[in-house]
Amino acid sequence: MSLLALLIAIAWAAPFDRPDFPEPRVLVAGALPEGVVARLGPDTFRFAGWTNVLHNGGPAARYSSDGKRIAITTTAGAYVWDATTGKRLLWVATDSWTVSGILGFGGTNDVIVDCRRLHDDKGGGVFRINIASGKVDGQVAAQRATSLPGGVAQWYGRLFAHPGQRHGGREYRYRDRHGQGTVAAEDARHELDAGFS
Amino acid sequence: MPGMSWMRVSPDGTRLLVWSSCAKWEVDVLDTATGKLVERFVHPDSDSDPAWTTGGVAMSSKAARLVAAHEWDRGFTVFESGTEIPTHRVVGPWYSNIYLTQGSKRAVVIRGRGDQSIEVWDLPAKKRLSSVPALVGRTMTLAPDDTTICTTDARGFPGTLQFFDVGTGKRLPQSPEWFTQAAVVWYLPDGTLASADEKFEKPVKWDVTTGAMAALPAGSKPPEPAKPAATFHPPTGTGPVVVAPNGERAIGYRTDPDELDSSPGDSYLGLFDDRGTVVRKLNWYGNLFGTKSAFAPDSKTFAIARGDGEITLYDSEKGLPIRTLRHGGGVTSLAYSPDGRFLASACGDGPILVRAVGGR
Repeated sequence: MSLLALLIAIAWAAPFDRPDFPEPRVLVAGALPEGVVARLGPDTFRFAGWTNVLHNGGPAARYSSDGKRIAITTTAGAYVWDATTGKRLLWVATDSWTVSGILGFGGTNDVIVDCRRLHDDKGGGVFRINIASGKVDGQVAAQRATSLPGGVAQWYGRLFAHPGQRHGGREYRYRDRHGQGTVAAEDARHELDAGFS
Repeated sequence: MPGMSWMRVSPDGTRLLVWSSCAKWEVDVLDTATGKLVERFVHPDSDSDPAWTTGGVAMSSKAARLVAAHEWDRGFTVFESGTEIPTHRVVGPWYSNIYLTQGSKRAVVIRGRGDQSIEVWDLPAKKRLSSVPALVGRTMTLAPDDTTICTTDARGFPGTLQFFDVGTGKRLPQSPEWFTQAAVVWYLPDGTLASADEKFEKPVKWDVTTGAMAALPAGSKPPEPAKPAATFHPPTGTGPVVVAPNGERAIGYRTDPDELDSSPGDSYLGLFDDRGTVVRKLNWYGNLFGTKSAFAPDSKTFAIARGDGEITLYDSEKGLPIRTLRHGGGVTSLAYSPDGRFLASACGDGPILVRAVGGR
């Protein structure tokens, strides 16, 4: 039995290096993907994949509050464009092992994405990405619990998360750089411990 | 299942709305400052009929007004703070993508699937103000100025964002045109990159250095693909295959007719030897259909691209992956340059990408 488990584990791991914890794979603005020497033809408002996905239960498309940016989630990841010029500002790519989706826009120049391991609830996180640099400057990572729940997180100065229906609980917690708290607790059966790092 | 569980924060950040039941349409409204349950909205029919919110929800500040589109034939519902059940219900086929505008006094909602229309409703008056036909897609968002709908899957424009005027339903000028010259890509014998639409009505060639495009004679097409040898006998259920230049390997999609109800292993991209024996099963998570593949000129490597833009290079001997690449569009065609140094990928709409992949 253990040999079978080992073989399954080897088959699962190979042939790619499966990340222990997903990190957003960010392409900034007009950056060419690795190894690309030329891009030919129009590129405005273009995306890959299919958009009939509701990543984490949230809308697949949304404007920023000032109307200057548009973000969508597709099966190929999360995209952000300049709403006027159509220039791509960010592409947080989904690949064989991770899926990335847009959760919302943050303050002045950032987006919030959810990035998690494909077909696996045990790895995931919510990241705040600076649009100009493409750098992750904030992260909510599951620390004690096995994962962030399947609920939607939105960014309004706080980040909300909830345990998800499969845990049968109704506890809603938030944590940000300035503090943390439990919004409500009713019949909570699942402990979530997430925070920015 | 989409729409079965969600949370939303009101625009002013004071309310957290949570729907976490798949049995009934009940939405808890919580005060984000105190954590107290403020009230609850309940769809009265959800005990007997599903009222999933796959069409979306929208709310005003403090969740004083909530609108929820239920798709199917459930219409959309309007809830007001202080009243548990809807204050107004509109029954109609397939309402989706609902938004609040004009100080939450109006709702913009998309009606229908095949023949869509943009409807604007006066909520206090419970009256439809306008209904204009529009070829919007299913995934969309309303601009903050309430005048523009941005949609991702408008008919005739796959892979691009499109913009529509809420008042007229007309497609707006900032919407990109569908670039048709990049459905199929191939290299000419002299190493020039060429591409064309699916019907080869508009073949072009490219200056890779400058990005300039020039027309090719109508009807220009890539060379006929190599055919497998007479000794190539793949298993039953194997579709058309792409054959390596040296004839020793082939790639094809296979469904085992005896294993249709089992998984995994019943369908896969197979790497075959020259006799049709499966050397390696390339099982991916979905997206097997629509994959494109090409062998390098020296037959030592091959590339497989799938619809979400991921391209994987493999060694032909054992079928093991070497590198994973990405294209900004769903890949519709792949081609190696004659010297094997470059791999071009096209997505049918939008840019062609040319990559350095080695070779001599």
